[in-house]
Amino acid sequence: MSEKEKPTENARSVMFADWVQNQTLAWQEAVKRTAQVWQAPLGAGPGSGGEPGKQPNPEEIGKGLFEFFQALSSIAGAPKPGDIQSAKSVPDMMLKILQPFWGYMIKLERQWAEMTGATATGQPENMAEILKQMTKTFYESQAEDFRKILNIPQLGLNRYYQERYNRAIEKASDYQSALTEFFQLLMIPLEKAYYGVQEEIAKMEKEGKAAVKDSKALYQLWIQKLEDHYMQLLRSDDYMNTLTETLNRLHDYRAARAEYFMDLLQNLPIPTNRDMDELYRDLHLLKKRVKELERKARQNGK
Amino acid sequence: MESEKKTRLSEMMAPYAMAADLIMARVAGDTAKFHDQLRKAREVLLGPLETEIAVTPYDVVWQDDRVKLKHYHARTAPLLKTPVFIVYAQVNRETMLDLQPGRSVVETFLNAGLDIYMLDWGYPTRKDRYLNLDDHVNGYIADAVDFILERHGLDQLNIMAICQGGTMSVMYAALHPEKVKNLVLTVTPTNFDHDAGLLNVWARSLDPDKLVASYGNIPGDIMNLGFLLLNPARLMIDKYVGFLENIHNRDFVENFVRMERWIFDSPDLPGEAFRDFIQWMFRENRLIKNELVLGGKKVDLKNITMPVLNIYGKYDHLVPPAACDQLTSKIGSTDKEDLCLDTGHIGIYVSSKTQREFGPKIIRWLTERDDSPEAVNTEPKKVSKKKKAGATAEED
Repeated sequence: MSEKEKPTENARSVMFADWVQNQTLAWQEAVKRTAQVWQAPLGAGPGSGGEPGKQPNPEEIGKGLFEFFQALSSIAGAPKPGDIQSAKSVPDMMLKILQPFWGYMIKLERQWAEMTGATATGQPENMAEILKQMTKTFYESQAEDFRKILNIPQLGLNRYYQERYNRAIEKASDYQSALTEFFQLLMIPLEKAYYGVQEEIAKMEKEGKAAVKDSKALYQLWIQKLEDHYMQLLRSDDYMNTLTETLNRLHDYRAARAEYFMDLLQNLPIPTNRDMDELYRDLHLLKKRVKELERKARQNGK
Repeated sequence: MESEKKTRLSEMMAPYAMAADLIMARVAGDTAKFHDQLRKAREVLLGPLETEIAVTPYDVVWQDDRVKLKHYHARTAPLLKTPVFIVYAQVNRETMLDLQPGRSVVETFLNAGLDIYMLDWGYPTRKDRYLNLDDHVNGYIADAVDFILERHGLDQLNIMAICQGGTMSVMYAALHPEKVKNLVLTVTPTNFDHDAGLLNVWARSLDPDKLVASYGNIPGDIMNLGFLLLNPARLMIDKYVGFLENIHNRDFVENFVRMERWIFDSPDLPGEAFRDFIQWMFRENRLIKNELVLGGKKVDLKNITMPVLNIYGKYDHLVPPAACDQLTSKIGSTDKEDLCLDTGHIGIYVSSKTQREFGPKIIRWLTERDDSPEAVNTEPKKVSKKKKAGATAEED
């Protein structure tokens, strides 16, 4: 980290700590209220198993939650389980759990601030480009931590099934990210056409020509600009790369999804695509052989 | 500061707002006129509309799996001795050649006295995913040709082919030249090494293995989405703006809906055939380079010695002239002709201008290369073929 970045990071840490503190207080308050609501039926209900009259203490509920998250953390193998284990209080624990989420929010907020900050300059902003960047940030940040969780080694009898399920989730997220980027790319010509029309009108006015006021003529001007910008985009490397990436992610997602569905279908009396494809391949080869034999028989018969 | 942000945000949304405004202004225009049009539009849309396509009667005379052979009912005395076998592409449907009375290539041919057979590729299912290019050329096309020849007691027939159906017909004609009397190719891509059309650029960058592994057969909807993205401004916006502008006009609406019905009637493509086509044609350009091998035999373009008429569209954005205009220099025929019409990929078959030019040109060209009409024996024999079918268009 450079020296310049340190103050920003410190400020962010302070903001982060404040925010976590607020969040924790809110959670504690929620826990208290929930406990109060549960208290009567839990305590008074027949066959509840609880001691009549004894009310769950908010601290006990907090402790229970902490133990639950600790257990979850050890099962999930979160990046730094030691951090969680060393957390001695609910606020600390909340802080650790919510850290990745906070990270995304900071990044998104920063981009939003940059975008709106640029407003003062009066420069035309490209909404599609900003959305594209924000989406990319969101998915990349999300994927970074999400992927770690989904790729935690699985154990036991169900490990392969769980891995395939996790893989399908991961690939769905990747595909969604690529698809969003692809559609956002397709929005760019709409914006360029808008500015193109404005420039064209300004140019006409400058040259002393009458501005296009008829809506039909204006529409024709706009649709022509739009078509031109699409033609430029559709031939660009950026488009080709994004299209290829989207199709590759689609393939990966469909393959992962098919694997998962096959696991599900194996437990049902339904043939899987793999079963049917094997059958179709055999059928195809048999039909080809029969046709060939028929041809030979006809030739021999002549 | 907040208000500045809001202003800025609305400025950024302006392109989208303007798009909506322009479209609405274009459609609505004069308010009084717009209200009148809306009233008429209501009558048109809620009233009876004739939007059927492919209404010319035919019999299904042969069928193998999903693939059918249509034989159209003759309308006049036969003009030619040799029947015409039409091979359409596997992308979209052959119904485009018979879109509506008055805009039908089939009708033009029948009125002139041509005996028409047309291949209907049907709708491939997952079962068909292993059918490759060889299965289509040396299987379905070859079997349908043999059936027609046997039915008429002939050794040769005329082939007229469209788009990718033309590419497969070129392969067939090179492999079985003795069975083809005349070959008419329309908007047929044979050269894939050019950047004139976006389709070519995109198809070359596709990974067919991944697509086939993902889908088995390539969904028609994906193909259609690809075609729409070739020109989103016109095909996804302007076209429908035009429709809304003319929504009060019954003829316009009927024609528009017919075309929509045809465009979005997109069968899936058999996976292996798609893989072969993308890899061997778009990526390796094997056909025009004389490097293609099908069913263990080389597809040698020099074997094409029959007369060839090669028609394509000057403004075709799917199969541009660069994709079509090299073939005649590579084949063995001495009687060959390139004809570039001032039209696009679909307009060549459906525009009223080309209806007057395109169909009659083919009829004249075939007539000049047919034997004398006196020798005509077009009455088909009964062919005892296992796969012969007998459904009519109405039953089908």
